[in-house]
Amino acid sequence: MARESRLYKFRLALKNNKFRFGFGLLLFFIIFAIIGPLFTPFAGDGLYYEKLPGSNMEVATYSTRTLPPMTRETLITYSGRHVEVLHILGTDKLGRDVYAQLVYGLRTSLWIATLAAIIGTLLGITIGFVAGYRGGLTDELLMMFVNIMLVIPSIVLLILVAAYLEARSPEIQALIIGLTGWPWVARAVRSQTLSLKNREFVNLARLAGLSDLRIIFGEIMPNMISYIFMVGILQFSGAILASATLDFIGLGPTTAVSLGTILQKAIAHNALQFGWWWWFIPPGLIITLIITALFFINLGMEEVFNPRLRRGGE
Amino acid sequence: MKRYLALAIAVLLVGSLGGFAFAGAEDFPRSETIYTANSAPPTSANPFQGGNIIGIDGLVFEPLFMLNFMTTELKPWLAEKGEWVDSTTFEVKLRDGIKWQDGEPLTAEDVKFSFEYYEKLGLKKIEGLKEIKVVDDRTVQFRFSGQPNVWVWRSNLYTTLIIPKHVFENLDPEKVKTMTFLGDEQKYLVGSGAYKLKEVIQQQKSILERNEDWWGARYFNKPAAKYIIQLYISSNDQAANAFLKGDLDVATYYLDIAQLKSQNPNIVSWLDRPPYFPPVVPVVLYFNTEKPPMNMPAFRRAIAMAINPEQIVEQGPISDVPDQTPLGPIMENWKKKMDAPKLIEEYGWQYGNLEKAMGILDQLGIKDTDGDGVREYNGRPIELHFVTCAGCSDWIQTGEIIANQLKPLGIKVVIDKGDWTNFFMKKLNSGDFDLALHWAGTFKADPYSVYYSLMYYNNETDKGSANFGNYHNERANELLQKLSATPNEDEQVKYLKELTRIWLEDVPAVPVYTGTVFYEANTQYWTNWPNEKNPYGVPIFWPGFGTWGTALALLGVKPAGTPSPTTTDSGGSTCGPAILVGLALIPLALYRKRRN
Amino acid sequence: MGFRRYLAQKTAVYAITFLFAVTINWLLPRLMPGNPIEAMIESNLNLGPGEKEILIRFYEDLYGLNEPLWRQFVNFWVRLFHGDLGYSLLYKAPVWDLIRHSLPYDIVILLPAIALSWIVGNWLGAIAGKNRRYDRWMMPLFYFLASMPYFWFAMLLVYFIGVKLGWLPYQGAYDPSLVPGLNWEFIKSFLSHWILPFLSLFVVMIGSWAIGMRNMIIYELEADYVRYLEALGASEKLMTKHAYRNAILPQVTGLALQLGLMVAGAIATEIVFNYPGIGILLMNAALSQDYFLLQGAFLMVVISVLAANFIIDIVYAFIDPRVRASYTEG
Repeated sequence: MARESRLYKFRLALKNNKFRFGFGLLLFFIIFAIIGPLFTPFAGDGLYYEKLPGSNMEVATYSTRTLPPMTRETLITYSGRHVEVLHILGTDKLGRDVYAQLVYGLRTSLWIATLAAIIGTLLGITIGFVAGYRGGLTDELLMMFVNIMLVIPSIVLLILVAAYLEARSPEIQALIIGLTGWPWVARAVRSQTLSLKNREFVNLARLAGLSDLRIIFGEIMPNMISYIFMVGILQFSGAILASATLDFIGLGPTTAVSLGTILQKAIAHNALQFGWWWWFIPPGLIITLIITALFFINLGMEEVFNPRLRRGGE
Repeated sequence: MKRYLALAIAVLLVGSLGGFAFAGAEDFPRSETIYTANSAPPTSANPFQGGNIIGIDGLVFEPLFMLNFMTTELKPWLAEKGEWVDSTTFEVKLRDGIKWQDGEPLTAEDVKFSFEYYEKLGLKKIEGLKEIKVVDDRTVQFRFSGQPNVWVWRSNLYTTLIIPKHVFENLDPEKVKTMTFLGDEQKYLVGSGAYKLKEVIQQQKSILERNEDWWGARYFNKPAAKYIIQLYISSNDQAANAFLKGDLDVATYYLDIAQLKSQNPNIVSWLDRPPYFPPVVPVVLYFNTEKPPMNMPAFRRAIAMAINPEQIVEQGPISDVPDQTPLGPIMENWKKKMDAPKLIEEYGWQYGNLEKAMGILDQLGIKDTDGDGVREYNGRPIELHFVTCAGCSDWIQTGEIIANQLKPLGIKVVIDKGDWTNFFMKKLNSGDFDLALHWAGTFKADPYSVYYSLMYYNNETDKGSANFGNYHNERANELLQKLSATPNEDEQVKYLKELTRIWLEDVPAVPVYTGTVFYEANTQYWTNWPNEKNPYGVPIFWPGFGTWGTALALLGVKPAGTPSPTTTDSGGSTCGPAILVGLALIPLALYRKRRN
Repeated sequence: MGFRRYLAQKTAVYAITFLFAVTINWLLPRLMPGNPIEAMIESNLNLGPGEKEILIRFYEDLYGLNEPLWRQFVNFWVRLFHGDLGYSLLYKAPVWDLIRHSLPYDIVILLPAIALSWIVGNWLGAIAGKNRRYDRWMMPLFYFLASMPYFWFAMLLVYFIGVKLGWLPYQGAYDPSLVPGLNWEFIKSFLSHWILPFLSLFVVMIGSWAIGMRNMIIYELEADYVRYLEALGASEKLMTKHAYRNAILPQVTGLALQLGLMVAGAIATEIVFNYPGIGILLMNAALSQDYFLLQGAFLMVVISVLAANFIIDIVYAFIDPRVRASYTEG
């Protein structure tokens, strides 16, 4: 398990078509989230802002409501200026640009998912490791806690936290998703640890008198790093879905727009009945494609790290 | 193995279908059925603490008087008339020939029993009511000790449902509190009204069936619809679809009414011009009147002047242009008696007059000294925090427009959003805000209640329920006190005029747009829906608004396509005054609406 | 002997989990700031002076919220053992009645969706696992399906099939003019309303089952024992059979957990289709802090998830030799 081989494996992963496809797609959305705002004059809330002369205050202008995609429109701003703008994905019922909301919503959703994945993975790994490595009573107690967490639906926690806070921010949502998403990671990591714990090299290390921490970080962890990475990716995709669902039922962030809240607004304003498809198809499609991309990354990595799954010629 | 699995699944599938309690099938002829809907499922028909079935109040059980919220007038219902015979005695005379649905006559004893039953339940506490005296079968006197609040009493007349003594006297009030009056308990639903509860299909629909033997047919029209079915439609989206397909005749949902009308020309609402929806009362912009510089009436006035409601109506929520008073279009009668336009001209401000507003601020010495476009007060730039709830898109949008309108005045407005209960209402109740919108203070059924809830202030706990800005004016308190004690209309108008003058001079809050309630009706099967020109009923199809006039609307519709006789109303004389007491609990519907 | 101890141990663990979960369930909403009763009354537009205080007292008495916390806790358990889940603040009805009447609608959608997607998904997954040619184009499809937020797919179905094409109704559980009954008209209407919500869950679920099965099959087919069988010259059918048996075990666990979670309903699907299930009740309870309904509903979820887990543990004790070994040996 030397360093070179891991580097080699990463290069191998880059040669894997599935990994390349998934990684490329994900990269595309990340880049899109970063540079997307360059293609629209609208701010994250879908409004057109204009600086008032002689002060640093900005005034918002609404666009015409429910314009279809690729509509050009001349806005008359607060100060009476005429500005020609292009609504790449049209506007919604409140006269806000959908494309701008989508780009900023994508940012929020990716940010929430990243944070939630980090929190969930770290928690799950720690608890799983400790339970699996220590065994005995510690294991029993921790696993009982894991089981309890598995049966408490995350929505209860969300309501509780939402009630304590004056406003729900994306970070809070990430925290809640992370705090409820770890139990299965802990379970999986525990069983991995259990199987690794009794391998010869670990026993050797123990005989050599290495401390538990040294064994965990020096011997067991490196053997699980790829596994942990994959778990993290699954956490990430789970978090995107969970956050979209929470947003959709009205428990989304109150301080920022996210992909799920766009969908929720679309439903609330009868977009389905009135045929404003540009309002609800793109956000869902983006969520779906991101998760697909993550799955492919995961699959590609699994094939690389677990040669049994590798199929000839790929 | 595979075959067994398939079999097991098939059994499960059939079994899950069998999980329903099957009732006998029944058809409701479309031409004889009114379909309405609510965003909460029908789960309780409890007439006392507001079930969620439209019409339990008003159509099944009836009050002494019906309120018509759209005109704020009372219409004698079970009562033929009611009046203050002296300053502490209110006498009610019942109509002749009123019967319960089981055939028993409805008498003064039932009226006395009903008011006492509400008190026993803990749902009403009528201040100062000493005795309810049955004079004869059709006459009952309410005797007060000391001077009663005539407006509060007025509200009791339409919020107290009259229940049959012979059914309820053996029902323990403690038990009644949590009864749903469905299933076996449905037998207690013996009302006097035009409809009976036929059946509730749990959590999906409730079916009211016409009472063919209704006493009221003699005085009012016999209701046209044989059935009134309330569907459970949880989302606006689905309600829009039901209207487009003609599955729904009338309801209160937040829909794009203009779009709906263009797709289904049979859809009507209150007005035949935009905003179509019925404008009811103004939404007002509160100032935290305890915080400088908003403690200065002149400063508040300057802000009021900089606001342009016409722009808000054009760019903001579905609304209409308000006037400067907190009394909405529903109080047109009162405003006429007060000659409100003259008061406004004399004491009020002019909207959208930026120049004059700037002049006032300059005069107050609030100027922009450092040239950054923001005026300073005591050396600090004025930055006002506008609080609202994150789901209240109407209010957020209005806040943004107001922020834009105040910018050229040199005042910066920051919009803070949060949860309804834990952020918005908490801030309003604790005075931790600068500006906020609300209409709880204006959504009232009489002008006394409006002024009381907006302007009364004795101390932090004893104040008007919607006096969020803690506006305090001793003279206003005094006037409210006097107004509460007089059933004499001339005197009432005199006090109301003075209260309006104080409002206009002091600007405790600014009406920024006239809020609408949502109302969609389908004329394909039923016509004569109430509207601006014929406001005989109230277009609020929420549970709990029955005696506020929804019942009047449902009783007044006519079948489409058949020549309809003209209504013979027995002419509603306005009875004594009052205050709104809302037992009607409509939390879900309102909650939803605000979150949209 | 071994099995009995195993059973006793498992039962104890589940009992403790149950007590703990229910206690947390009870405690969480009560730690919330803000009084749900006040919030409910404040959302009421039509109140007169003094009316608010009267109503607050009325509701606090009604729900016993003015008693000390420990007393409420005791009352809670006493009532629970009498089968009383409390009385909903929001819907003004006993919680058990609410759950009882909406649960069938969830079951009727979710049970077939879960069960059929499990069968179809496993079947497709197994084919893909065995056959590389299929795998090439089916695998991306599975992943795409599994990636879709199921409420978004529901929206697409509503928009394209319901609104644009007008083929199927997409609102409610049956036509508004009907009353449930055992007659052809009702059943027809019920089934036509059932198709879209069912499909929205069924199609999305197929994806994840198929992925699970495919990966397990590939993994098993490459396992040493299959190689060994292959070396011995066993028929392909035999090898597949063994691989399939091993691969299906985790899928059964997944199925049981899904069925256990069924009680929580499918909130987002119910919103899109206006289907009268338990999910919407839950959502509204959450939004208006209706603790009794929340508790009642979550109690049901906890019980059913625990029951599903428990059953799986017991079943495994019989069918999985590895588990059997763990309790017979030590």
